[in-house]
Amino acid sequence: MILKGDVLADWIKNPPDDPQERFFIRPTPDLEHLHDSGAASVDLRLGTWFVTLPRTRFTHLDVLDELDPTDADAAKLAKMHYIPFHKQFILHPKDFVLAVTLEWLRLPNKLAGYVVGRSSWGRRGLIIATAAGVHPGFTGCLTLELSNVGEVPIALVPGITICQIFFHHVDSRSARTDRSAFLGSRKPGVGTIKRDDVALRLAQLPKP
Amino acid sequence: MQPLVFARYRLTAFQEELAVLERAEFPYPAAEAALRKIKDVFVKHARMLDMLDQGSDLNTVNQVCQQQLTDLWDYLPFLGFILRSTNVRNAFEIYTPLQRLAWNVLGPKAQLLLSSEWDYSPFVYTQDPLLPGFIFIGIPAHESSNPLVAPLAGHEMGHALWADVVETSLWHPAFLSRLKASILEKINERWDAFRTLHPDIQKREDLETELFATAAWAPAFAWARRQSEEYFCDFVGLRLFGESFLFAFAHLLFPVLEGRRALHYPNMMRRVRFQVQAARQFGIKPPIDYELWFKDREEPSDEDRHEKFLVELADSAADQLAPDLIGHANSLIKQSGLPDWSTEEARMKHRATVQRIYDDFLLATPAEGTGHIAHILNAGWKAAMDKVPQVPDHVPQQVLRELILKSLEVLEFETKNPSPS
Repeated sequence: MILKGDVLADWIKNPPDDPQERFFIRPTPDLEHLHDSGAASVDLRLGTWFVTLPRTRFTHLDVLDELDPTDADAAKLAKMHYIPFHKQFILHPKDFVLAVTLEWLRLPNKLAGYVVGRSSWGRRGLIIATAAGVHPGFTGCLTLELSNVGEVPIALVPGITICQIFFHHVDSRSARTDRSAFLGSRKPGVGTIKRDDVALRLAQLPKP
Repeated sequence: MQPLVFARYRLTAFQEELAVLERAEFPYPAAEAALRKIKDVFVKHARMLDMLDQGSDLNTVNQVCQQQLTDLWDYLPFLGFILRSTNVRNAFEIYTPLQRLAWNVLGPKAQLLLSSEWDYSPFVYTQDPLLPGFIFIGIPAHESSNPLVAPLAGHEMGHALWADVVETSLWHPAFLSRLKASILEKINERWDAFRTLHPDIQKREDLETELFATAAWAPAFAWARRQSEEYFCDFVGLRLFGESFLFAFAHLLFPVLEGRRALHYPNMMRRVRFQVQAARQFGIKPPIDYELWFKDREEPSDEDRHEKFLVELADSAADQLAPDLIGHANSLIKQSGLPDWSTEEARMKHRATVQRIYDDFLLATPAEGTGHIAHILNAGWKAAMDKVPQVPDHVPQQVLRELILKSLEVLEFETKNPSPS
């Protein structure tokens, strides 16, 4: 069940007694507008940190290496950029960059979210590459995968509305949420791919 | 004409380096502005060199080349500083709230640069005649992403305030006269001991008029001046950042290293006692047992009777006037928008804000509506000392650092987008 703006605004404005059930978006969006807009999503803004994967520093990304988190090249080689509110990050055609939301979210156990790009940006060639699922209990800023599939460079400015998040009610009989697995950061992260023993076994050469 | 050839090569190399630096990703305008100022200095040098040739007067050539060499010597460290200020190891979220604080305290022309330095002790470059208004504050490289050390920037801003405001005010000559009078009074009290060290000085009246006599106590006066400046800077840091300044100070220096004290700094226990006295005067509650965390470093030994006597004079004079410095720091930092602990109502308001931020941190959530960097840092230190946010499998200090830095960014967002309400 997707939650509409009025429900979300009330949840933030009137926090439940149980601290674990509190829902935060910082900076908090205009709750009055959210309440009255009738929207079923919350707009999120672009943050100030970006990550690029410099092409000059590694020959290729070996999926098998990435499957072993101790040897993940992408995470080691990520180049961090800080773009303050008054400056621009130019995303050239065919370029890919990791960005982060300005907002820090803290989801209670009963809430999950899906992040999608804004169609107005998409029509100009700026794509948020994946529809990222946000798990119940997530705490942190959301990493965004941005790609310019258009023909002209796009000047990104921290603070612009970049994407939207739809919140869903989560139905579960378990009250347990492992916040450790979903702690984000203020910077975009390449993240580690969970070790996949099945895939690693399948990739091995058959023994003679 | 060799000096000219060398000078031209040196200048070309320096200007090439400047051009490389100009292409850096600058996180804030002050770094670019400082670089432009330095560039202007060397554009003028280039013009001067262009006016000289084989037929020029050798003395003039030497003079121009020497001046260029001096400026290269002086400004190369600034280039290094500017380069390090762009490194993403720095927590850039600290910058804008500190810059706003610098404008509040030092006026709208103050331009702050923060860098990560390969030197343990934070330091400040200020008062360069060609870079007026620029304040270069270095933070130890391994701490440059740690917002909890940011209150120490308050002490460093104190040095800029001392140089730009205190030393140029009418208050300062009167202060120096009293410092001198205090030293002379102490010598008169201990006249026999002084005579033992300086048997040639016969009369007390000579202390102020005879060259040899004044030279005898001049080091004590110089040390007392420097010690007074250090006291003042501590009081500024404390006044700006409250209790968090004391925690950051301890973070940097506790436990006190063994070894001899620096004579131009007050020894540790005197410094800490005056910090506590200033805290009480400002309405700030120092940490319980704060004084017990520290100890003195070694004083000059009895074998060096001259130095021991002089440093006793310096210590005594600096201590005598330290209460005045507390009052003066407080009077200079009364601008609106700065945290205020002077009344019970203000203290209660501050405590409530800090508690609210702290409660958010414990829920692994950055705070909003904080109003001032000092409130965030005080809540940060409260969390660091009392109860760090615990998230399984995560280093608590890292989680706290993220929360503080995000809160600082939210503060900046709110400052630029004030709520209509």
